[in-house]
Amino acid sequence: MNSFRYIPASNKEIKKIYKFIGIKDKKELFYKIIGDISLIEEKDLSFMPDQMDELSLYKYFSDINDKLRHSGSIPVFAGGGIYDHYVPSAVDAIMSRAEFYTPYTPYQPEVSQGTLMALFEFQSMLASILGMDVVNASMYDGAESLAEAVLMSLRIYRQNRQTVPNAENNKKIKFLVSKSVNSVYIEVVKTFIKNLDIVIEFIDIDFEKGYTDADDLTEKLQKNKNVCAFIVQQPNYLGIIEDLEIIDKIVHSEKYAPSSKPHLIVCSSEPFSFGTITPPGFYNADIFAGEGNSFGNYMNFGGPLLGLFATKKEFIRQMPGRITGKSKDSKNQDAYQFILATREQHIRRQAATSNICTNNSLNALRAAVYLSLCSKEGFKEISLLNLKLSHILCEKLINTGLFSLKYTGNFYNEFVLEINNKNKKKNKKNSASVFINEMMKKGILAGISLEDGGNAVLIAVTEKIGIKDIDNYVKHSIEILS
Amino acid sequence: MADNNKFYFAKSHEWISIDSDNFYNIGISDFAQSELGDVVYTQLPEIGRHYKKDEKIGEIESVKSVSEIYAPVDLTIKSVNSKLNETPELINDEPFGEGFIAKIELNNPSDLLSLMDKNSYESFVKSNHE
Amino acid sequence: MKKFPGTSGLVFNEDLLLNQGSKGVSGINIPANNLGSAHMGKTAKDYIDAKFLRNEKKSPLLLPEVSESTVVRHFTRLSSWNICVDTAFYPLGSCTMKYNPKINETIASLSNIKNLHPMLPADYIQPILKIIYDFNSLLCGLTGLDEFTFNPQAGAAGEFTGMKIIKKYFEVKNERRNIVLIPDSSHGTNPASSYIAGFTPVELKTFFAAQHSSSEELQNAHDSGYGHDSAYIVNKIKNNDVNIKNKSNGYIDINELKKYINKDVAAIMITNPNTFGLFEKNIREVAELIHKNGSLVYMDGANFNAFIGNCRVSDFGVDILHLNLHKTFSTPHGGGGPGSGPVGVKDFLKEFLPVPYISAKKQATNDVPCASNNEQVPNDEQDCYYELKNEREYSIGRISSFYGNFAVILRAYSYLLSLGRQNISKISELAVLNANYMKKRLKDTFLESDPFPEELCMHECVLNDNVFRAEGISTLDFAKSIIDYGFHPPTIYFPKNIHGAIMIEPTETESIKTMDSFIDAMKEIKKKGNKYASKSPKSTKTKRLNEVLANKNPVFK
Repeated sequence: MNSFRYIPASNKEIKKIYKFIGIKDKKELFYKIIGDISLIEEKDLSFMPDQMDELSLYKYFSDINDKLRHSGSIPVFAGGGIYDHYVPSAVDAIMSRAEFYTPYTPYQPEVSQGTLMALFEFQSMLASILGMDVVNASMYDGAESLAEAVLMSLRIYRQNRQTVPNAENNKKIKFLVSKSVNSVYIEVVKTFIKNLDIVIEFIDIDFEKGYTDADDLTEKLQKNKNVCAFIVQQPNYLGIIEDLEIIDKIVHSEKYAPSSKPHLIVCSSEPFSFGTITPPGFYNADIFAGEGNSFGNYMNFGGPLLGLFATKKEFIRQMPGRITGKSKDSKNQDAYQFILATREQHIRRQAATSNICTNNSLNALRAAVYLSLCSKEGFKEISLLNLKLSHILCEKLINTGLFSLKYTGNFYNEFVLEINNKNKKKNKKNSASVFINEMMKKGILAGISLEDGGNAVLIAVTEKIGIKDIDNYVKHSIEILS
Repeated sequence: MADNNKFYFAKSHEWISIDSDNFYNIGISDFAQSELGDVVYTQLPEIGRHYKKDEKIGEIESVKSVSEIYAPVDLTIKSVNSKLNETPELINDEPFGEGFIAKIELNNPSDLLSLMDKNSYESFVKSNHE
Repeated sequence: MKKFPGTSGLVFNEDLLLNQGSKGVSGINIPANNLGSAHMGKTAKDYIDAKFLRNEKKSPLLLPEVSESTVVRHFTRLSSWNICVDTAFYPLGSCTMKYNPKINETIASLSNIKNLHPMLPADYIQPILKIIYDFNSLLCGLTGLDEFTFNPQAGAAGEFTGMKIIKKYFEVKNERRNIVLIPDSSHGTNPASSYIAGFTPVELKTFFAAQHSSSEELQNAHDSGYGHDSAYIVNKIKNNDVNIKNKSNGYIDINELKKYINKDVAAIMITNPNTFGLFEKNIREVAELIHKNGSLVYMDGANFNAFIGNCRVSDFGVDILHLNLHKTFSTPHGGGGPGSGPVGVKDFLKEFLPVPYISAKKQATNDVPCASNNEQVPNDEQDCYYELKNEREYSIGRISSFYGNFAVILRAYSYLLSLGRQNISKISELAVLNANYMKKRLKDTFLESDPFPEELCMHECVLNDNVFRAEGISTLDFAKSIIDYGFHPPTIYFPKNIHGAIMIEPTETESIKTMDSFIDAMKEIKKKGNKYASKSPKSTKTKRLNEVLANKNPVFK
């Protein structure tokens, strides 16, 4: 018999190997390799639970899954960078093929064409959706992707200024960041740039409309001669659509860039909207760094997600991550492989454009299958449905008189409502977090509290939400708040 | 100071020569290109920029390796071989001719005397790399 | 009976999906949401300003126009062009391509678990937080470290996290230390991660090869992908730094290390067992020297499969460690990811870990922390309340959008539970046994290729190309040839200081029969010689690729 179900060697065969290599037992084997470093003895393993057969394991996690029915199978109106979209069965069916999920990174292209061609299709589809020239084969998540975009803009900035020997270059490099960018993403960016002597300066938002204040942006660009890039999110964290046309004009204006052009970085938490609104690539965005989890991936309690990264062709050599390219094989057939590997850590070591190696390839493949299924018209329609449903909910909630719209700019499928104070008894139910907790008791994840202790709720709607769910949301809000 | 058509070599495998129009050219040696393999990309130096001896002036990439080009002596870039942008393989095909990297000015032409001539470079390569 | 798995049969051709469409066809139907007539006929411009709308003329959307059935057939055909762990022996050195248990996939796709939004209130995610918390306890027990963060999304992110912790540690101590020592056999991610975290990586030589790199090696340097560094070789040639004495060793040399130790050294970043498949015998002495200098010991735990359950990293002086759940802990590699790279630290570094983290309190008395290491999991009946917290005195900050790759962590946890106390030490024992079995069985033909013939290896064995080269077979040729025998090639041209390296890691989940068959194939390839090998692979749909074309004129969409 073998000792464990994943181990093919029988006990007899194990003895045979020991004999073959001339070692008596495990003790001698490890002693000869690790010397007198102490071996863990059985009694030291008491912290480990008993082994579990497959059925017990299944039951154990099934129980956990059952306990989570009031969190994992309820209508989700929370977004904030991760959205509850429906995943068609065909995505799961294809992605459960071991040929896709059990290989390593495709270093041997002759035996990895399936993964490589699918990644090529992923890159092509995303490039078209974003309006960007070149998309890489994935990063970890939206936050890390944005941090990498910041590092990349630094490289471009330095390259552009190599020959500018003026004193301006000795000043600290600045990033201008709209206050409407996901603050968690900015925290991650700060971790990455901590020791790099870089300053972040925030750009105000129009407190009525909720989008970036163009005047403040202009002013800060005029004031600062050493701006590397402007970071904006589309739609922004508050759900509001930014006017990228104006931002393009301001940021890319030569007036504000004495020696080289500053760069526009767009971070979008929801490329889903680009089935409806014009994507950043068509407004000359230099780098796109966003979160693609909405395309065919589950929320998985926050990971794995799908970091998207795209840029203009001229910057391709500064790009982090793997890029799949089309080539020919020795029989002149189309074939795919990773290209421009000289950017990467395994060749350029510390001079690499990033340290990333393992990425989120399988999530990218899920996105490729999802977008293929949607097809051109389906993607537009499902994107439009998200827009409609969110506006329907918004309108109905405002009509209750219990909420008011905090920002009046155009929004896609996410918006901020403030719980009105007037209809309140003194039981603090107008605080957003209390409201969300009360709604959880009714089986609805009502949104995200915009700030601690505040009364603003960030609410997202996807196609998974039906009109019935919307009516329930309204009904329970009235119960709780009035 | 320097003979026409004579090549001066650095230990880091760059060469400098003077062409028939009395311009100095810089490139990499036949040995260096053969070590690199098929060149797919070159990052050319900046026109007008002055580089100090041993400063990096550019990069040459093959499929899976990168090699830096250094200034063998103090020099200034007059013009670059922009043909390399479209046809980087010129470096493999004609390292001493059409595959040159740039036309340069020397601050001090006598610096060339610190470099190796063809024979000593060849024996340098032989003794170090075979 | 066939000696090798071999390859033959039907392979489908398949065009890009974009070329297969018919206008207007789609693979989904839009959910009927009973919008009501008021909204049914409306278009986007009824809701938002027309100037924001995507315009098919100005910004065309190039997506395929195909049905569900076409999509499924397309990707299923593509999948048939991949070799994977489930179809073939995949002895990729340093990658630990072990079997990926199917029950873990089932568990990760349980519907409530996979549909959890990360911002749910803590009351509603108690079992999930408990899983991460309990998994932490198990990893602490197995490594001897005191706390893990699960936020890093892969190994390189773990390295970056660890390096940031070291940076912050010295900042708080008000010491300026900028150097991280990295042995030359390290993964390329090590210097890259330490550099991005703000350090200057300094290479430590551990192995001096007899031969310098040839142009053939440079030419063939491509397919390693894994840490191979031909740029380094080119620069070495250019710097005239080739004729170093032949001193085969493979371990960190204490005297060599001493030369590098000074007050600028923040840490050593050490892969153990190293990429020669050898356990760093001197590691305790190394750690002692490093600690005496006030520096820290970081271990790259990519190869933890070599001793999990048999020894603890705390017993040889490691302060910080990252693990790769997609290697040692059996989670599938996904054709490139996702992975997970938890980082563990000793007690004195806990406050530096990234946020958020999970804390646990006994329900009844709010102040008593829940026991971790010494309790049995999952049988404990402790009534704990778990929370996600952001307060850590010296935290390096956030490194990911949420809390790392939970679905990967879940699979790894399930794997540990299935192994349990009874089997946890067996996996590394068998991984080491299998590698040594292969190493010894290869000796009759490849003795001349074994750089460490006297040593026992750990989880993988490394060969140089001496034997194959004598037959005119390059390492690349060998790798491509073994595909036709029905195997995935081993890692090649890495580690860089072994000439034409071939790095074989069988893992514990392969049988003697499989290993024997692979070894026989190696011997047969050698016998068949150059003519055969240079034209391989022959049976794959795609033959060897034109890498120059792909890189000279990049086509990426």
